[in-house]
Amino acid sequence: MAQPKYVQAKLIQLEEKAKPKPKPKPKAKPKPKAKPKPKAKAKPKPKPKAKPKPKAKPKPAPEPTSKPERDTQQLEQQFASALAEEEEFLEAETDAQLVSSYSAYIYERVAGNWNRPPSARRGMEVELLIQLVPTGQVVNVIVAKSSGHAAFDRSAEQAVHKAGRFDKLQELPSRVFENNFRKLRLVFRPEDLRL
Amino acid sequence: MKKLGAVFSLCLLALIYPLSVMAELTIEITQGVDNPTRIAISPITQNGSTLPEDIGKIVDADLERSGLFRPIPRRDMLSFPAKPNDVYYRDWRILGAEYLVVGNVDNRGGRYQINFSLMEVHSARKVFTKVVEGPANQLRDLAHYISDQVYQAVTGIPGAFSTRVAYVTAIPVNGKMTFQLMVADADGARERLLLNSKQPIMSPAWSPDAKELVYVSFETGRPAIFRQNLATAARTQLTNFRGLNGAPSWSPDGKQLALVLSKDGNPEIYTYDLLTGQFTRRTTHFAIDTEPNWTPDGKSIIFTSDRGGSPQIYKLTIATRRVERLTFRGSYNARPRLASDGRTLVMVHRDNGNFHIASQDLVTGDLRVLTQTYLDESPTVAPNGAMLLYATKQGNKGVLAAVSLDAGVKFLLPSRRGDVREPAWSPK
Amino acid sequence: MKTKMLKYGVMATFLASLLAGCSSTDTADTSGSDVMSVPSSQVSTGTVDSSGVSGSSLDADSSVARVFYFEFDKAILNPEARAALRIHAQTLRANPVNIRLEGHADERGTREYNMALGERRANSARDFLVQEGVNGSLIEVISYGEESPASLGSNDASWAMNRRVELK
Repeated sequence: MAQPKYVQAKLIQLEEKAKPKPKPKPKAKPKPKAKPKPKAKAKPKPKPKAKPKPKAKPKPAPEPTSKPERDTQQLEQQFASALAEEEEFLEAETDAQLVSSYSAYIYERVAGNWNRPPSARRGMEVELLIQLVPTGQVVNVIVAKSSGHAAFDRSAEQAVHKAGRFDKLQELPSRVFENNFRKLRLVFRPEDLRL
Repeated sequence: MKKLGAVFSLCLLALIYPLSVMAELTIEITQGVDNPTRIAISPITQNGSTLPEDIGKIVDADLERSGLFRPIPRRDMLSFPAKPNDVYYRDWRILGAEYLVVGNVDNRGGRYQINFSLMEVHSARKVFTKVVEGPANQLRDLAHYISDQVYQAVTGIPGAFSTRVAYVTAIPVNGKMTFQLMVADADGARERLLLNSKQPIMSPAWSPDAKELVYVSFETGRPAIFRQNLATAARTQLTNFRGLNGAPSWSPDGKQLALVLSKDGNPEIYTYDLLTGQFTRRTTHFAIDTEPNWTPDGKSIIFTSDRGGSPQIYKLTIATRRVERLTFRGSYNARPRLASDGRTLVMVHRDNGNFHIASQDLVTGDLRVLTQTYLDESPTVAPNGAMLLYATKQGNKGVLAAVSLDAGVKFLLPSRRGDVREPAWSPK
Repeated sequence: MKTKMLKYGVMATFLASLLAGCSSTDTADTSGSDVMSVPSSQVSTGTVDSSGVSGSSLDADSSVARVFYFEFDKAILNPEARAALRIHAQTLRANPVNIRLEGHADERGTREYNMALGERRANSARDFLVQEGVNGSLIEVISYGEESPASLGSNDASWAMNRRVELK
């Protein structure tokens, strides 16, 4: 039995790599992806969507600890953002379908109430900017681009007024409504006139 | 309501260009239904007192007759505003009115002045306020003026409610036919007798200032052309040739007539200078050339000719004497009239043995049969080009009918005693 | 001496017209204002010489057809018309008087064009008479177009009666 040996331990602080440049690796920042409004995300059924806006780019990498660990984390990171992207993509697709079918609904209601004046001719075009609220009510209509013919412009405004409230818009997820239908442009350009 | 195809297009600009966050969804509306516009005419009175004519009713009838409006019945109205400030829009939205007309009449020393306004109901906006005034005995004219203004504001084209129509009636009296030349308002009111005769009367035509008529009368034992002033009833006989003297048409500048004479052996088109009395022959073909009508620019005359073997419509350019054929579909096209746009030709067109009124676009060549009545003749176009009148038969009786140039509106005019024929719409 | 052939032809035409006339009046409007231009005496006798050269019929002037009928849109004289006109020509050569040929059309088509058609028909008759030696200056041609119908119906039978030239 020897006498225990005592070891002088020295704590070594591993320099946290003075350069935190976690080399973003393009993926890291998903970059809000100039996702043009109309397309946006979501599944058909407003999935709870835990993940709020991918807007919030996932925090970059957690402090890598050891190299191997760092790699794994990077991989996981990449995987996570790839997943997020795919979700966004799918959301965008189904949103597109929604926008398309509710646009058709608005088209039917407006066209079905559009009485063209006898002075209307093919080639005339008027653009209205309308504002809706989620109940489908039209709260404002303005002529953004006149056709140059007062009676023609007025017939377009009348068509919107007569269409009344677009009730079915209430079925839309609010995100889709907000991004697409709160402010809407209607371009009236008749293609079915004989003259 | 017209069936709507599912054709529409989504403007996808916003998708392709990831631009501003504010890119709006755009929907293109490319079809419509063209239902008549619902309009309410609030009674127009003299501060509540009635007038010799019910102005609101005259305007209702005018607008309804055009086929483009559906007036709201007075008995359904909840209030009777006379001024824009008195309008409670909800009363009118409930009725489904798109437009509302309000007005009031003031008597100013024997003359009436009417202040009237057109309001858009949904947006609660005033479209216009106007004034019209006139002598006490012209209330109907003031009402028609209101109709014209309202019609123009909503449709974009001038109204034709202040115009008149000349026509011929043939009534058997004691076993013999009596012929009458008449003029009435476009709505049929204030019918006036201009000529009463035991011999046929034909082809009335208006002067461009709408103050005179020329027509053919057989009163001398032969057809001859006469000129008559509506206000003074003064008449002049203009022609007295052997053979045909017919189909007079007044030039747009008021200085000449085009007409038909067969004194040189066969029916040819002549022009007649109203000032000098000189006749100038314009066609030189052994076939029948008849039914001349001036083009709005006064440079050409369109007419019927069977020089091609059967009646077709031709155009003669006066300066060059060039004659060109205008109609190529069907074996009988006659009695041409040109609308004031200079490009819409209406005529009598035989299709499958039936005589209809057809229109042809002289620019595109499109021919369109407008009527489903047959034995149709004498089409005459309103000065605003929107509507035409023509003569047809209902059973064995001659009646007048109206059809819009797009064939969307059709109706028969209320029947009168005897046969009615040869309508001529005044140019203003 | 009368041969039957042509006589029957003309008679048949007249009888047919008479029958057509009858049937149209009961459906037509009640005006009853016939501008019937076929004198009944003519209808009942209607005898005409076939060759037209026999002199015996000349005194029965009123029995020679004075109305000639035409096909739709045509101005061609039919054989019966020519035969009758030949007789009239004879009479006129022997006894020149002023006559009027009134041309008519049925109601179909446009009025002024029908005036021209009526005139064309009357001219056919006039030209024939002139050809047969009648002095043209005796003949006045007037067209009434569709303005003076013999029958007021809107059917083939009425129309056939209206497409005519009358010699007066």
